[in-house]
Amino acid sequence: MKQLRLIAGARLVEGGRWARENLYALLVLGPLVLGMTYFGVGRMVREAEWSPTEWQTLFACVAAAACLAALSLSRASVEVYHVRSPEWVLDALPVSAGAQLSAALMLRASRTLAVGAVALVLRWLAGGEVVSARLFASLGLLVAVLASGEVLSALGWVRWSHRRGGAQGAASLAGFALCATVAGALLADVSRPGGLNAVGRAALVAGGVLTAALLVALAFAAHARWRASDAEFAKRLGARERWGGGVERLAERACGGRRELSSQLARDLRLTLRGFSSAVYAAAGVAVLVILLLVALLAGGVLPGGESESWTSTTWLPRVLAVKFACVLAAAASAALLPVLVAHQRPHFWLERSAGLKGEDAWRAKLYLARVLAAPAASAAWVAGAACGAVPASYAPALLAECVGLWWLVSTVAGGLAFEMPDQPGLALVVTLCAALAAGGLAAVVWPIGLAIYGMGVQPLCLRGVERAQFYLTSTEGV
Amino acid sequence: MSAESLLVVESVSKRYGETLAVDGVSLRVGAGEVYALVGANGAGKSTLIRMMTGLAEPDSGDVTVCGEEMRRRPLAAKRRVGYLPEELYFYQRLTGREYLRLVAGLKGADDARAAEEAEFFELKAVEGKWVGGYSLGMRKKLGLAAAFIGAPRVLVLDEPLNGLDVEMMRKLRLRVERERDAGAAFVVSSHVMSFVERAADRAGVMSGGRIVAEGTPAELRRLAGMPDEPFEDVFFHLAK
Repeated sequence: MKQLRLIAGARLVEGGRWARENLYALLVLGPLVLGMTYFGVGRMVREAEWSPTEWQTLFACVAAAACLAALSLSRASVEVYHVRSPEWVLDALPVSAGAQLSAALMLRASRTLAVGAVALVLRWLAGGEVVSARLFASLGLLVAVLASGEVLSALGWVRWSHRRGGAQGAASLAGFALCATVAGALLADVSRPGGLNAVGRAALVAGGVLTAALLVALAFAAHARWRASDAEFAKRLGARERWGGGVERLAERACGGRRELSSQLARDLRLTLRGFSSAVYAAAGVAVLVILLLVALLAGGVLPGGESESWTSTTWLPRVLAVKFACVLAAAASAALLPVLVAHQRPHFWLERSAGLKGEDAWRAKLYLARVLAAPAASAAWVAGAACGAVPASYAPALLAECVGLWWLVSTVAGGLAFEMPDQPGLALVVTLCAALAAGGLAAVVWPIGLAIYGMGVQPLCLRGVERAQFYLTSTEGV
Repeated sequence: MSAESLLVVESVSKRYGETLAVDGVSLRVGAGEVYALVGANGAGKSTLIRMMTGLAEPDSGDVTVCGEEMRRRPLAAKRRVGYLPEELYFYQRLTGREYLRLVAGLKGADDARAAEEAEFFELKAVEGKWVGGYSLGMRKKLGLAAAFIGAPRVLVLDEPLNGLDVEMMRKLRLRVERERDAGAAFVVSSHVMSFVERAADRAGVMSGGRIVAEGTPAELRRLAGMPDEPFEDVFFHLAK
């Protein structure tokens, strides 16, 4: 118990200091995101004529829980087996396996609390009460089931990768399915008010308690049995060969064969694909969410169809505008990753310095990266619009041209600001997003404005971007 | 070799896929003895060390520390081992003092021991700062201080000299000699041959996962037939 207290204490201190370092993100960005969600998504949800049935909600929540557990496999295995993490010291010290797993479970539960918070926000948006003992019991169970299921799945995943045992793999899948089903049911109960009657709720709570207890017991048993032989294998999982041949070719093509640019772009793409920061997942998640919302809006018939008076005025139909705004939002969310990447790379700029790289080359590589990152999001918006029948077939090519223009403008603005303030990535993220959304939003409403912004604003932005890149390449201040 | 063997490695093997990293290695390190493990990169030193410290489980064979089998009684065995790994990962936002106190607590040692080691390894001036801001040398000293906390009877040091300045290298060598004279057993993996020749009572040369030569530095010179050449040449000859 003393060991667990010491480990938890060290993590608390470290977590508290991380929070202090990221006060800006927590106190400014958090409320900003919540506010935007409330006034944007919340309003759409409240005013939408379509609402999901109970079964649709349950299915979506089970799918969400399964996705969460699957996405957490890698992170949970790092927490259990201490892969390249400070907790390696626990393996070398006389710390029991039980204390190590308890610490990993506590850490996973603390991270899963974020899911509970999201569920609460969803409930609040749906107009349900957010302060009640019953609700907090369900929330606690949701966190317990999901966290223990994630840890058990991670143990099973590493074991199966190591030994490839069919029976063990099937048992692990069964555990995963149980976790996803019960956590999904709890998530549906928490996020949707008034879904269950008293009997159903009691059964759900009882099922949740039993499932959490079962998953925890299985996790401890599997850990005690497998840890000694799997720990070394888990540490070597990261040493496997990595995919990435296509990245070189893509970078070469995007940079027109300029090696000093394509080598930087290939590196940046690899770092992004390998998740250099959790911001990568956040940006990808936001972009995917925007596209899914677009599909839901278009397919659910929430937006009025309308008929345009002429072909040229089709651009202002609500459905077409929705596609264009989704294109801007998704592209901006993807490209907004740049300031975070530059901040991440700043301690390693000695490489660019020692290679004699010019500021313009460093900046231009980031501009190309913004375009490459934003391209799939913009394409997805157009494809979603066309596939859902949002536009008349005769306007689809024109909408494609508009989406291309928006992608180009948004990614240019985001790329141009990449080196604006790498010592304050949180603020840089907000500035980049605001600038890209403002330019893209105006261009989405009236496309000639986009041309005007590009013609008049991009040249000075590029000059400034090159100067900032040169400054940060030569300055080591704040690194 | 001393009569009491504190570390006994018996026929341990470890395979990673097709690669046999350690192939039936046996060795004994007695109380009051410094055993140097030398070998080229990929020879199997670090894997052997990881098995000695309980970080990896041998596919076959056994490791015993002070009479406690690492496989059957890992906690009892680990209580007697101090370990410095080659790659160091620390909590970036803990101070050096907090980290050493955490290690002391987990080892069941007093905080006073943590303070003594911080003093010895010249960390007093920076022990209030976050470890994330430490230089390579500072981090190595912190790792060494953590390894020495709790007065372990067996110390396993993997590349302890990397990043240390000359003064600290000398100080570490004197500390190793002092602890050895007090009855501790050391296993030191190092590429610094002058340190190996000066500090080690015995050395094992690893190649292809096996110990291909073993003995005192003088015996190894005789075995290689190189009495006056630099010890690097002796090692190169034996490892080949």
